[in-house]
Amino acid sequence: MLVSRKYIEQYFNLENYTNDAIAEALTTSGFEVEGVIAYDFKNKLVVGEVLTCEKHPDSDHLHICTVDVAIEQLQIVCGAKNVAVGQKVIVALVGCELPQLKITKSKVRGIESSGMLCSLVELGVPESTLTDEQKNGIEILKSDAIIGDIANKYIGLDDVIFELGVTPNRSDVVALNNLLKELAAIFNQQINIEIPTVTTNLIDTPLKVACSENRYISAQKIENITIKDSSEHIQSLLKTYNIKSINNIVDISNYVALLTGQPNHIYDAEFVKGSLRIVDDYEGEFVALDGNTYNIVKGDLMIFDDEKPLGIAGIMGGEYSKVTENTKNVIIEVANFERMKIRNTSRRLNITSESSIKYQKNIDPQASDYASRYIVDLLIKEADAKNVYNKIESSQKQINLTTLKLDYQRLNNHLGSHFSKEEVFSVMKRLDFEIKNDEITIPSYRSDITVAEDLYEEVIRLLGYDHLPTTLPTVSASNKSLPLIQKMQRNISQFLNKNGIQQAMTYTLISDELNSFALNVKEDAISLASPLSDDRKIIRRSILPSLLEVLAYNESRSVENCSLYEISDVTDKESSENRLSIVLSGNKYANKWNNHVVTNDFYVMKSLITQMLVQLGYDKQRIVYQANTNQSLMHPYQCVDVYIGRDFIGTFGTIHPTISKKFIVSKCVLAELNLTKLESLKVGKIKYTPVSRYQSVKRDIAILVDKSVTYGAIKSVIEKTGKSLIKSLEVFDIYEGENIGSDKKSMAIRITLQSQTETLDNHTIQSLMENITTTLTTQLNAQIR
Amino acid sequence: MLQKIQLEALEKIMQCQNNTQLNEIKVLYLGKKGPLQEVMQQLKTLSVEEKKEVGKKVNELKSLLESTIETKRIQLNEIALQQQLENEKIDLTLEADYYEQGNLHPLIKIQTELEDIFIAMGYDVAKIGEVELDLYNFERANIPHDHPARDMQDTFYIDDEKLLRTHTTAVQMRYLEEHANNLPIQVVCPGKVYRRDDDDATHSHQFMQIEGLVVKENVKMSDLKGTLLLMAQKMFGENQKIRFRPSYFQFTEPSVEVDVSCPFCGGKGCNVCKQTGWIEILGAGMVHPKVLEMAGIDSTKYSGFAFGAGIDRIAMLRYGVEDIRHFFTNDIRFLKSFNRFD
Ligand SMILES: [Zn+2]
Repeated sequence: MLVSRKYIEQYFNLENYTNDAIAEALTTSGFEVEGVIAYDFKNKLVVGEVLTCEKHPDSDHLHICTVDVAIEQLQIVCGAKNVAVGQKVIVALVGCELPQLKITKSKVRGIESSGMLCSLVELGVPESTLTDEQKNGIEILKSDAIIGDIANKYIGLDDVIFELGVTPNRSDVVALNNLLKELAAIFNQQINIEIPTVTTNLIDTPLKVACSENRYISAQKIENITIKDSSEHIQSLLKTYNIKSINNIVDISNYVALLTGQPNHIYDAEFVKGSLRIVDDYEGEFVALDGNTYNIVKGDLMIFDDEKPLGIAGIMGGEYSKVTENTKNVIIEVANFERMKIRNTSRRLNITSESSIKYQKNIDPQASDYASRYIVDLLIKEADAKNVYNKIESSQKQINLTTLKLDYQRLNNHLGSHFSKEEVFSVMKRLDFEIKNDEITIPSYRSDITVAEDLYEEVIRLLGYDHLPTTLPTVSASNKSLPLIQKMQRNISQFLNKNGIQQAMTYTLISDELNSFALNVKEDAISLASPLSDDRKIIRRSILPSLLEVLAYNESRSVENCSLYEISDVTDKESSENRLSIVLSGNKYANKWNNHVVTNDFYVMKSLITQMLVQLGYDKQRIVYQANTNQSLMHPYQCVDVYIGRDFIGTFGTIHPTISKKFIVSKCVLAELNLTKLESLKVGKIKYTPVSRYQSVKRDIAILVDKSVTYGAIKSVIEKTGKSLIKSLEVFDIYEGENIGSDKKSMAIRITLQSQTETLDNHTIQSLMENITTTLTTQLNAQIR
Repeated sequence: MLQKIQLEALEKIMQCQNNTQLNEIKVLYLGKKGPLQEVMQQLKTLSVEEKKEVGKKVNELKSLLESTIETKRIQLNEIALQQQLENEKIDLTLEADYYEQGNLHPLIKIQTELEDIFIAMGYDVAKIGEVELDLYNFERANIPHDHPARDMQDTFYIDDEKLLRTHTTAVQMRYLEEHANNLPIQVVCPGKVYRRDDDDATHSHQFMQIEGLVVKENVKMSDLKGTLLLMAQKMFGENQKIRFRPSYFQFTEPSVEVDVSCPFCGGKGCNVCKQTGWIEILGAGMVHPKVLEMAGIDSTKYSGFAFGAGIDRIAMLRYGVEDIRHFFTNDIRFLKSFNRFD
């Protein structure tokens, strides 16, 4: 919403307010000033007279002019076609800063030029408010303009325009009359706005109107109008709002809409046959005022007379019935409709008009009456209208004014403030709300005020939030604070960060294609009803594909050794769960000059996952890794599913070569775990057991087995045989080679034996080791070396 | 005789290069077949007086040699240690930054920090799914059907009932309903939210918010001001000021936008704050009585306040990030710039 300083100064004494102070007052009262347009050219834009004007020797469109600016005569090269001797013109002096350029002394095709003759476009005036002549040439001022004067006042740019942000609840202030009332409250000054009453004798109307009950329409005929320019007052106000002045009738219509917030339409009466009706079942074409033909469908609201459509209701009138310079008699139409209907039609037809914008705001139910009165009054005063007929209208809805009790103590309790009763009620007076025994009657234009809290807001915003004390609520201590899953997420993040893995955050919405790479999905994915683009149309069910994209992005920029994780909710048609995804690529660490290099591979991931699960509280014995040869993202022989006991938690493994090719990423290892599931499983508490006082003993064995025998199988045999005496196992060498047979492998294992209850004697150790080797031989066909 | 032995032995000890040689010398002179032992053998032929005298001298020489050997041993050990250390000289200037640590994503970092600020004030943290019912996202938040905010244009609808939540207020509304019989409520709800916006430097179709909600008896708007001042000071520095500006949200009344003094210029005015000295960081207000009633809470007995802040916005302000898209591109070099405690 725009408001001009000059306009409000007609009503209020703002002598003591700088522009900044006005902006501050408006902002702190709830109307944030988003911009100030000042057209301030700092005394460098003056009136000049063209004394001479000759053609530039080296150009067919440039002129060399001598321009009198009172203190001196300047030579200025001008490119405008319309420049001529004797004109009063706008001169931007050297040093003047125009929106697009700063004026300097220069040479134009060899001829010196000290300044510029300006068009309004060059001063930054919106083109939509200008005539073609104004757009295409320099501005010619009236001949009585005084040479050397600051030019602004001759072109109506001696004003300051504030751009106000209006919150949806206060759209009442798009009506200038309501804005003035608001300003009266803000500046704490009096204002009296009188709505005109028509005093002429009214003639009985032949018109009729019709519409359904939830809508409203009125029509009033006026005869013998004179078409001419509208008054200066109206023109200058329209200019502030960038509305082009057409003629007095059209201008009055627009002006009254500005004052009241109530759109209206004025028809040439000659082209209206019979009654005015609001119709919602028209189908067909319609030629609107803008000259375009629109396709109207059922459901769009139209204004009809007895024969034909006259306008698209609330959006734009028709070309056929518009007021022209030949118009003699007019019909004023004021109507109201459901705002959703107007919005939908306006959207579908892609037309936005002053009227369609206003209809989407709250319109004061009394404004329709005010608008008719203003229009008739102005048509008489500004268009010499002679015969005024009765207004005919459809039945009006009863206007019920809200009354609210204002209890200043409750207000103070709610706000934590310490206002006196007088202070609180003074705000109601500033707002011009009616007060009767602490009951406040809310005027019809303030439909935003429905509960007492709305009044509290009026009081605090107008008395100022800097009067609000700073306190803290009484604390109610909580024993919950962070939910378990979030605690777990934090622990995981900390663990992974420590291990050199970087946290990422990618988009929830993905493409069809990315969705096809989702890991461990159960149900179908959710598609949006109205996506913005194909890239962002599906809610993801898995994080890994997004992380692979991030990896590709980084690797394509030569960033090496990317290790990333992300924790995020994923969702399918049935449910949501929280997942952790990890991508490891390149080296975990590399210090090449001393051969200290660890490459991220399956085992690094395995170590990471195991460590993480153990630290989260899942005993190592509960963690089960089961080979999965059938996971399309993963290498068939380097992939496992992770279980805690029997509960499936997720999967990790080396990327499948076709997938790494597809995403253009290096060979990397991937994991995705379901944290929601994990969090639901019991975790072990830290349980202290004393360190065994008895010596541990290490024994090494080397065995030769078939390649197909896994370490897991060997480990299981040893542990079952040795039971609780087996403290730990460590593989310290694996060998494969022709000399031991191509289907064999040799494995060297260090076994640590220890008892909680005694020192193991040689005999016990000896027989245990023999027992182990025998079992390995019989069960796994191992050869002991 | 003894003098000769002494001179010879001391000379040899002096010339020792290592412990092995030293041990040999020790055996040579002090061992059972050493020259001193020999002298003692010859004592038998001497008178008692002489025996006494020579015996004393031999013993003196013995202990002299012993102590000299030990001193030499210490010297040799020291030299050997020095040598070993010399040999272990390394190039201290070689780069060694290969044990890199990861760090939190900047948005999670801010989220965590905000959570901790409120946990310290006794708040609970609630997280609820991102796919939400229209009912909680709009209806319960007092945003009626014909309100522009509910437009298909601005919301990612899934079907007529479900959508991707457009604000964390949705969580709040659920929480209110679930805890209506279990007051007081003191909770913050962080999370991702979605708007049907084209991505550019300042807009993202996905971003993060944190929503705060307190409902109990006698909660006042001044409590909101105090709470947010504390939050601003913990986030941006202890001299921070805040400013309330009247605004409008459907689910609060009164409603305010909250500005913090501009962290870039300290409130003097700069380009970032458009010369105002203030930067808007969140919206807040007293919970609208209709919202309480819809959740089944007696609005004459209980009151509450709520606030919602953009985590992305706070992160951008705090770290001077100029383009919101950086947060989701995940260029590792960008992510690593947040690798310190602050
Ligand atoms: Zn600043």
